[in-house]
Amino acid sequence: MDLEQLVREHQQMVFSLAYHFLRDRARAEDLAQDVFLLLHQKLHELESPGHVKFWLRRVTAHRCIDESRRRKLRNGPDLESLPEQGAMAPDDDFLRAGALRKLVASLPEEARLVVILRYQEDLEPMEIAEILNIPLGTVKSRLHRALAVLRWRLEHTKHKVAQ
Amino acid sequence: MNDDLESELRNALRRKQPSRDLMPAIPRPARNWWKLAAAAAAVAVVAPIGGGVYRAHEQRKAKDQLVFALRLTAVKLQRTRAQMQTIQMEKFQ
Repeated sequence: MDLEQLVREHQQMVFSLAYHFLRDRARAEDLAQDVFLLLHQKLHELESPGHVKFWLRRVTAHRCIDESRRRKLRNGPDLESLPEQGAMAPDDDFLRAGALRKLVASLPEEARLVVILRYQEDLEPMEIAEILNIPLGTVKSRLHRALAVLRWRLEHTKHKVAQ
Repeated sequence: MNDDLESELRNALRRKQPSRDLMPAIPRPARNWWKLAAAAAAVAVVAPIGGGVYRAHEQRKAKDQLVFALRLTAVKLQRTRAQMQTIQMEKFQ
């Protein structure tokens, strides 16, 4: 397997996982590049293209959590990632998508990862459980709770804007 | 409602293109220790052989010079002996 070809094939996936999680383009690009550097070192241990994809998702997910925790330690809570509820315009699709991304970014780290893997990568809960190495039930409950929180926040925002 | 939210999430979390190529700068692999060891072993083996060849060459050169000197001496001795014989014969005559 050729590294350059693998980078071309998967850079959008790895970058997007990091970007939706961190909401910082430059840091997401740096993180993705680190992941590919690690891939270069581990490539001989990976057996197939499917294994590479699984490995990239797993390593990116763990790196995202590490990076987020490091940032919290350095800077405290990240105000950028908190949703600006009063500024949302829920009926505008473009703005609503942006608002939704901000809401996702405000979820707790573990729930955020599950949501991103489920809706960016379109993975089944069982696949997410394997990538994150957690029980299937935990994935389902995190997903369920995250959707409930997002729905509530969206409704709450819509209600606020309507007033 | 849930389906709406899920489709909205799929739309909001679509993959994005990075703004630059993410191919990492791969550092040149460090030389393997066994390659360095092999190079050192080669030097250790070749150096004495080279030294031996040089020493043999010098010995052969010295031997040739010695043989040449001995031959020269022998020729000179032969000439000297011949001159002495001539002188003695002249005395007796």
